[in-house]
Amino acid sequence: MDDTMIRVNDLGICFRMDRNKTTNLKEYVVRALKRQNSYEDFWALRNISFDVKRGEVLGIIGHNGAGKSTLLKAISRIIDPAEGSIECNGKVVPMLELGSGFDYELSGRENVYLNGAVLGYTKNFIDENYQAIVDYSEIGDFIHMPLKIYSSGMIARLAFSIATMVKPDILIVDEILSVGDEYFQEKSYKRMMELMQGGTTVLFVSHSLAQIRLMCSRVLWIEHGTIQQFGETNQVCDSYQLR
Amino acid sequence: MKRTTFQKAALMGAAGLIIFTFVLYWLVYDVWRYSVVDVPHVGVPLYSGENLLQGGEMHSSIPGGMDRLDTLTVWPHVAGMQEGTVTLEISQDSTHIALHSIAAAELVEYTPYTVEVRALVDESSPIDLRFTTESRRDDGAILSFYCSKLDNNEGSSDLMTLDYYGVKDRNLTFYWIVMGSLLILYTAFCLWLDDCLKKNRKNFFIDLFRELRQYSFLMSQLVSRDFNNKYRQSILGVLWSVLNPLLTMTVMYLVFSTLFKSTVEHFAVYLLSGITMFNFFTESSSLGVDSITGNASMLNKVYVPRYIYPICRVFSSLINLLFSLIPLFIVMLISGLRFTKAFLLLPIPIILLFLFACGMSLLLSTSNVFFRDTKFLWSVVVMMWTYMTPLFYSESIIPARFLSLYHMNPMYQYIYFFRNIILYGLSPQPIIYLYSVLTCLVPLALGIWVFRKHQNKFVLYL
Repeated sequence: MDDTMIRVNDLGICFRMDRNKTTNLKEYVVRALKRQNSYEDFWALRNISFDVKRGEVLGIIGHNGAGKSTLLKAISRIIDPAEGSIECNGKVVPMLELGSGFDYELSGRENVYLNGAVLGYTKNFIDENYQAIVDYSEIGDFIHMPLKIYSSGMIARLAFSIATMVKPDILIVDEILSVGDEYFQEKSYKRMMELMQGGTTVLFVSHSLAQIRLMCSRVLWIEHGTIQQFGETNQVCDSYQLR
Repeated sequence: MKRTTFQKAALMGAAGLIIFTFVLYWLVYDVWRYSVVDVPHVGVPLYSGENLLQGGEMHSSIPGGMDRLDTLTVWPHVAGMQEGTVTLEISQDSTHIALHSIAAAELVEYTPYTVEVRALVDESSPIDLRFTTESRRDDGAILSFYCSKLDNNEGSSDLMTLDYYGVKDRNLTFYWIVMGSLLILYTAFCLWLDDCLKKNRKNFFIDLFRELRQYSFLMSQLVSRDFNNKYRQSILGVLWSVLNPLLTMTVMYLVFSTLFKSTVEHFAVYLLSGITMFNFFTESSSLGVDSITGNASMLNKVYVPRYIYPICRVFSSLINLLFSLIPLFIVMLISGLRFTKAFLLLPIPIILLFLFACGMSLLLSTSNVFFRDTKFLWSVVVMMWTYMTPLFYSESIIPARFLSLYHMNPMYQYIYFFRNIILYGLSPQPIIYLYSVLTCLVPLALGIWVFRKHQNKFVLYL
């Protein structure tokens, strides 16, 4: 059995930087006539290749704007690669930003269903697990209130509960463990560990090296859109700190 | 998707298609009358000025061009005739075809009287009709035929006309050819997909089916969210879906029936049927324009097939349309129109319009990502389009030389189709089916193509 869960092959993501961002037709036509529609290609990521095995926890580190989030977005299929390819085996659950896909006008209950549907769960599955999700998030009676009155911590808890209720094959986490109070942080950390032991592959972006050292088996260090170093956790973290 | 699931679904589709074919055939006999007569309600002038006197005789003929004559409808003017019979003899090229006796007591003044003929006739020559009466009474005139419906002839009130319906049997064989080839195409398509599944080849349609199955729950959630958000914090809630078209119709009805003196028959129903259909298009396309740009926060955070956003908007408008059929039916019943067999055809124009709206939404939402002007431009275009479609005026005011141009409007086709069913209880001419299918498939295919080509770039422009 091939237990490679994610295979990234020579990935390149290119943003076309419009020097003068035209979003209206008149300007576009005028510029086209004057031949002023100049673009600049900006490669947010280039020549990225790595693979992740089943049950592995891969930490991704790098400075702001290094391309970490772009990489996660590419793996969750939100951005299509300009070159290279990404293969994922199994169900990917991205948690890129808390409350993504929430509708703040709807109640917590409706949002559980909506967000569950976005993550690709079936109605039966959510029906069965609805109580567990609410219990785990510890939101209580607020679940019947519209989301706009929730505190950010409550939203984070609800989002985390929904996303981790299923055992995803691949979980993509972008710095969300830093939200919520200490008690919930600990709880979510435990849940993540459970998932990992259950064979879930995790991609984990964080600026907290302590967390990375604690949880990850390997670390990918990205700088300016290319791989700076890829290897054992402590080794990469050490050189990242030295730099 | 597993192959067995697919095979099951394909078989169910085939069964559905076969049932649909037979139901449609059952309807066609009564409803699909336009093989010969093109425009409803215009009959043939039968006799002018004079009355059918006692013992007298009246001749007329209707043009040929049909294989079977089904019915003849006359509007009698009964000038005091209570007894006796009128004999109708139908012949063609001096060959007798049918003979009917009508008891004078059965005839009611100015009320259509229909004679069921159902006889096979020759296509190439006209059919002769001879009306005779045998009884004689002292008080002169006894019967004449009169048509109150013929209003585009000068001095119409004295013209006597009759309507007739016939069928070209060839058209029914044509029907079987069309439906048979549809079935064959469908079978071939399914076999091809099955083969692709077996060999595990990638295929646009299989991916689409798979995604639709996987995301059907999400779509229902998004639709119900759109719908709930729309009526949030309004007291009447969903009732607005019913009230809105009704109120629009009332305003327009008052304006056009008093200010502009519309002569259209059953004007309220005419108006409301057009408004209902066009409102759906306006609503779905203006929601659709915004569907990608408006859902930017979701598009940036989670992967969902992008076409789901515009399609969901069209779906929620469709639900709205179904709600607004309720007031339409109520107004229809109040105006004295009844449900007929033809109502079974009602889903066809609605589905075609839905597909057309999907195509337009895909096109518009793509365009709006790159040029935000689309949204503003579209509201003007939609207004223009409203006036270019016969919603509150009759088509007859359009000069004849512009008519063919005028008919190119896809919305015209769907509304024509829809009104034929509601107002006349009839299916439109077969050619309208072809037009309406083409006018929805072309924009749909174009929309899918453009959308697929550009969807990868959406995220970069949001």
